[in-house]
Amino acid sequence: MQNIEIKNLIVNFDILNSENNVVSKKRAIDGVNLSINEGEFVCILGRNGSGKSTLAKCLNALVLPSEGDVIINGMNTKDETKTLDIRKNIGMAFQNPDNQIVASIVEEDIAFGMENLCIDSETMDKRIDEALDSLGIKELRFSVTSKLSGGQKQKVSIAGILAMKSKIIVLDEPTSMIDKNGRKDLLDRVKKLNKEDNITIILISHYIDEISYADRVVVLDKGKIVMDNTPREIVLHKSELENAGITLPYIPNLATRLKEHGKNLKGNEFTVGELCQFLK
Amino acid sequence: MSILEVKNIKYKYNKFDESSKYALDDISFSIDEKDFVAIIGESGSGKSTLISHLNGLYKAYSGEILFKGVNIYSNDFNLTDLRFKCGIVFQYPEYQLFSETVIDDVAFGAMKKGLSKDEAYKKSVEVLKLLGIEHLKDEAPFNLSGGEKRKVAFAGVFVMDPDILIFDEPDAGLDPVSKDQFYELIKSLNNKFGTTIIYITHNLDDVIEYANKVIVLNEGKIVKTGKPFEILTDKEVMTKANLEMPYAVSIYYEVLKKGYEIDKTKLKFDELLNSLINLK
Repeated sequence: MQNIEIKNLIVNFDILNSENNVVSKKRAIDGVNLSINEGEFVCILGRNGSGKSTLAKCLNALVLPSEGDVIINGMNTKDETKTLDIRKNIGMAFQNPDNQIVASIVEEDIAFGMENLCIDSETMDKRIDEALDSLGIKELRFSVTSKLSGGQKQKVSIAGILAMKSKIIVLDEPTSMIDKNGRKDLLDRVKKLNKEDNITIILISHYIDEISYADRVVVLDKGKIVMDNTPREIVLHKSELENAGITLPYIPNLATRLKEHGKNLKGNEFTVGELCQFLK
Repeated sequence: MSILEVKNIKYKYNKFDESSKYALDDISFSIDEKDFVAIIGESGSGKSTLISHLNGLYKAYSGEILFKGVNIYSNDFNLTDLRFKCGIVFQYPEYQLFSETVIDDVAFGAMKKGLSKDEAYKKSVEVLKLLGIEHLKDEAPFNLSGGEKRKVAFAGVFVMDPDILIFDEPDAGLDPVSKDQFYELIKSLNNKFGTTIIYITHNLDDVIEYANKVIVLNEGKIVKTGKPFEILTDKEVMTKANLEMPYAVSIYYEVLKKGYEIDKTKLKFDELLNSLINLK
């Protein structure tokens, strides 16, 4: 079944002056066609301002198309009567957790999303536990949200999404304030959800190392899709990536350079083990 | 000569709760002029709390901080002056922009410092030029991309001529190209003006690339301080701090495991590449 279908999507934003008059328009998304199947793990890459976050916001009807359509499980985001159902289908974690945390105690914050879905309190209790546990922050359950660190807040906002058990999860740079170990734990958990529960994952990230988790990488530049391929294939196109403002991840970059120096490598190795194969 | 000396400072958020943990527990270190210092540690280890002490935003319970040899907690110490000399750029600084134009926003800090309006604007233009964003000076900050906004916020701190620049996760949310440009920029400030740089990061491969000193925190305590290669190749320290090794170090150990010799002190990308090409 088709999960997400984006057809000829164009999004324009009004640029206002201080008197709230429209002075110009900025095109954030410029003719995107994209279909994502149920259970896919898609990573969206692109430089700052390339339209990644706007695209994400189109998925749960926070931003509506200026032209074209976004259809989630058969529901068009333009149809206002479907907005709530669409948002039940899509859980979304934003870049800056401060914009997303609503309650003063961690468990209340995680419960907030579930309350809106009318989940009974026993189930909620269980899911809060599971979500916190899976992110390794069980001890924060009764903490005051305003006293958490940036990374902890980010984990709490993601726990809220996990607890909602949405069919589609959109993560907009979910790990920017989390250390590498924590990032790995989080993404392993997300990958597990993806594989075991067939949840569709859309990951927007600047840590291009993270593309190795995805089945598919979509690169955006100036509101257009410029590349759409598997992670292994995409890292072989260094100059195309650079044109889109993306540098190669550390290991593929090193592998590519070593290959240029005649070492027996393909240039799309992702792990230290794969890279060091050229040594006997 | 050391510009900043931290001696045995302790701090806790909930001072009325006897049983609560110290967020900072007996922290001591010293930073020399022109140092490029990275503070690393997992989420919630006390990194942001620590830097908020360095310009007197938070006051330690016990211990002292010496700025150029003078105790900042002594009665006649001018804290306002310290905050100009020791500028902090917080997480997501772009949310701190508030003026209608870029140049107004930058000049605000300079006028606060006591410059006349003319001088402040002249100086602001110079700083914008230095950061390569002079062309944005009459734009509204809210119409800029994330990377541009961050540079503007940064200009607002740099315009005050600080001796020390402190950044809380400056690379969070920046795309790889903007991130590289940012590091090159602060490196050049460090070289050209001798500005001391202190920054918090989770990106340990960049620590190898840019920092000359590393402070590792865990649960409010210092695990170790030292040169990047010393710290990051120290398995005991990394385990204790619950940090994952950067790629360069993992590769270093893998190469050793395969029975080759490799120089531990040369782990920057180009150095490592060179070593790998010439392995015997």
